[in-house]
Amino acid sequence: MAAYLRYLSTRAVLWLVTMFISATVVFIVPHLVPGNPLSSVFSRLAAVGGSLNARELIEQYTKMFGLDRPLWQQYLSFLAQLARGNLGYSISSFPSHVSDVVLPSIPWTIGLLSVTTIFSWVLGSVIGAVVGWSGGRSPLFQALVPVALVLYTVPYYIVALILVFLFAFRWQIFPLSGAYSVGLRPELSLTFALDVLHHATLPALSIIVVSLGWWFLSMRSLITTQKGEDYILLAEATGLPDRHILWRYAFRNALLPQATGLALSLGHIVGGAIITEVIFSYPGLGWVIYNAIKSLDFPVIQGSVLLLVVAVATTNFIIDLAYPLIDPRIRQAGRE
Amino acid sequence: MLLRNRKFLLGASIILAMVIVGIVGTLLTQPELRRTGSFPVRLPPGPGGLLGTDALGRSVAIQLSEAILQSLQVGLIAATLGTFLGALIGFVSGYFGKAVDAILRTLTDVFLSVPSLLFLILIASLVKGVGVQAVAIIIGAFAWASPARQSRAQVLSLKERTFVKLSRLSGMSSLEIIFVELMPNMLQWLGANFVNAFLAAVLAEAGLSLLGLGPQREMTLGMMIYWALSYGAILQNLWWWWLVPVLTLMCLFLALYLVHLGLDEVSNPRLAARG
Amino acid sequence: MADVMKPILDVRDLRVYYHTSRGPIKAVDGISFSVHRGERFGLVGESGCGKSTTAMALLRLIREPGQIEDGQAHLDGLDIFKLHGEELRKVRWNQISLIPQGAMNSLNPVMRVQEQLADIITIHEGRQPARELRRRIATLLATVGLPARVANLYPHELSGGMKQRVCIAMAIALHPRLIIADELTSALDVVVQRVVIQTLLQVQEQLGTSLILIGHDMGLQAQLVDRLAVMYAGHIAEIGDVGDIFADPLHPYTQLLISSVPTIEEKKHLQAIPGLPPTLLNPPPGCLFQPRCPYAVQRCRVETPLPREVRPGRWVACHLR
Repeated sequence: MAAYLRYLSTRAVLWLVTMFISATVVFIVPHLVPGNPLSSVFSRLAAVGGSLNARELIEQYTKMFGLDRPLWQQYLSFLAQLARGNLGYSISSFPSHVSDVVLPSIPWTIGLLSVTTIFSWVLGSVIGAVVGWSGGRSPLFQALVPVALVLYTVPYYIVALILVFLFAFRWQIFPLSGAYSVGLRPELSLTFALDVLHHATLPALSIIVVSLGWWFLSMRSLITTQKGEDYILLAEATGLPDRHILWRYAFRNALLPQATGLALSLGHIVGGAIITEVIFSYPGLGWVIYNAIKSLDFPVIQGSVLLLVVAVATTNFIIDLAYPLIDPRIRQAGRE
Repeated sequence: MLLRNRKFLLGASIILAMVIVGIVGTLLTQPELRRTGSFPVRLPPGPGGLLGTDALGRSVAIQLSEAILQSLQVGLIAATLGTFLGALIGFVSGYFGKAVDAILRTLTDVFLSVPSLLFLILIASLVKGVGVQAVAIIIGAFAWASPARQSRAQVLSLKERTFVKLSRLSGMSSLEIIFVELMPNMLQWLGANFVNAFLAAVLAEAGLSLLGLGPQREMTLGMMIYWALSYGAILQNLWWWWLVPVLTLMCLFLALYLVHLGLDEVSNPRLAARG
Repeated sequence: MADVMKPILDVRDLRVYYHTSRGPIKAVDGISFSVHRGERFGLVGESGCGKSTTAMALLRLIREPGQIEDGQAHLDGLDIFKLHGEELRKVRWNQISLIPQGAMNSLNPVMRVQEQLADIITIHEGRQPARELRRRIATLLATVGLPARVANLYPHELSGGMKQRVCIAMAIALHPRLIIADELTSALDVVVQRVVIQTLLQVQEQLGTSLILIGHDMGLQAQLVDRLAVMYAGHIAEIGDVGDIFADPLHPYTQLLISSVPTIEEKKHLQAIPGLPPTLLNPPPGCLFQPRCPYAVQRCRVETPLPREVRPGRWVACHLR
């Protein structure tokens, strides 16, 4: 038990450090641009003929974030604000808070990402295990390998483009954009749920098609390595049935590196999903960021980035918590 | 030996072919032809205009030749910066150990787990309107984490290996030892990392451009897609406008992947035996 | 009465070849031997002589590109090389089990000892009441000298010697007729070796199982087995009673092997056998030991010696005997 707690605290520290460093980077970046970090944004806004509230905004910001005070004080107040959940004001929809702009989009992104990721990871692992275990014996299975090899290198948004073109434009099976049909009110009903699913299909498919390939190949390689292990040989010698050895011996041992792989690729998955949302105008955080970029709403960009980083770090931490359940050796390890 | 590996050769030739297309295309076209309105708008590929024209009257083929070179340039600059920065950080971390290692290793882990695209978005959104090289440098500045981790692992494993300890007995300084022993492996390892970083950089540029954070004044593969989407290419059925850069990108990924596989096989001959 | 006299295992002309792109590697090239009921049979030879391959062949664990090219192995009358699928699976472990060479890595890292043992028992004997199972496993562990709490541990929580003993417990779990112990103690230090060997021998006596002990240490084999087979380059050089062989080794290779064993009692030169074992890829004609044999004659270079029973219970494969 003590070893487990030691392990937990190490991972918790890493979690805190990640968030801390990310917050620092997010803070520092605007200050890298010479001059008052936000004035450059404001001046560009003004040049485009922007908000009439510019002066009011600048005053609010200067006061809230102490832009007239030394850097380290600004940093501290920045952290203090973050701790309170205050991400600042949105420029383009002032006086709305950044959180007001960003919060409604979170469920859409989380919904899309969690469902697609879990689905591809589980299904890809299962299929990969079956194919890897069968060795070269089944030509049907082996054909999947080059398919996966081609698929997994392609970014989600490229698959998205092709899917949108074929299934939404050419053959109008799925909608072109949005999370639900215009005019429909969000409510807890079957019609709404089906509508949401209908709209989410193409975005989800874009991610799933590519991710499946990756998890499939990864598990296949892990299972192939397992086949050479001594305990698999002995298991066969003891007269255990083939399928039993695959799932209870080989697969269980391959799960840990597969889970590690999941944790390591979370950043990449999130990055790809962001851009995919843009292709579909799917109202998640990616869409929010895209619009904020168009309207030069930097605080929203900043807030969204921070939120996403926190989400990824936290998910990583949760996966870390789950490791010992999968692999008993970790319970002893404590440190890496 | 590398030059005899089929996968490597195939991948490298594809990239070479693209470079040639890019150079030839750029050299052959007069600058005026690049301006909007030089061609009739919205022509599909065919006898009219090679790969077709876009909604602004520009030739897709001409754009492509410029885009290929610019995207490759981004990959090159970013990969070089990222790989060497990463190798250096990893080396320092592994060689000096203790406190330095603890700090750098934690930093590396953090940057590995965080979606680097997000930081890229953050920076790029502040410096909108910069050129291709600046975008490349920004991407490269965040590409160090993966090579750093690997470089550190290499240095650590070398420190432990018996022959290093033996060499130390023979009087070489440990720095000399590590360099001399690292060098032969280094090239292969650097190669693989470089190719990975190249691929990631081209991907990152495409992603940034799609979001509107790309080098607006120059043409890259990502920017081509961006313009296509901005002008509603999908809805107007101007499929060639976005499909051409998409296919080119996929070609490039495939080629880089083949090069990577080739490098892997050469450094680990057991893989080649099965292939 | 006659049944008791029939050997528990009868191997005839076993050949195991590994098919490579450059030709077949004849890892085992025509060996025959028998193991009697309840006896301890030793199979000794240097690395690469084919002894482990023989063990793998008997358990039908030879994998591509290797295959059992020829031969029969009758386990109590049943030709185990002719079994496939379900029949093979049933015979495995029930009738013939293995204590593997690398016990370090032979236990599933993500399963407790209890679960692995239970797995084997339930697969072969069907579902068991939990309490029965636990008791049975505790008894098994006690037989190999391990406390009952080991059942709840994971392999990585056990020492090398403990893991090896768990493997012994696994091997005896279904009371097989024949146990093959492959290099039982190679990876252990001397003190632990002794404990493990004692455990195995005790168990074997208790159960009356027949035992094949595979190893490369002549000195160790001498202390453990009843009868011994000496293997060289995929062939059997000599078979016989262990005392007989040590008192009067007939094959030149056996003689050299015995004289190379260091002893505390006698001060003598450490003698190594000059030369290297031959390549098993397209081996040359004639006796394979001939290049290193001090007594080789012309006939040895041309004609492969076949094992002959020169005395009751003594076989030698040498032209000079």
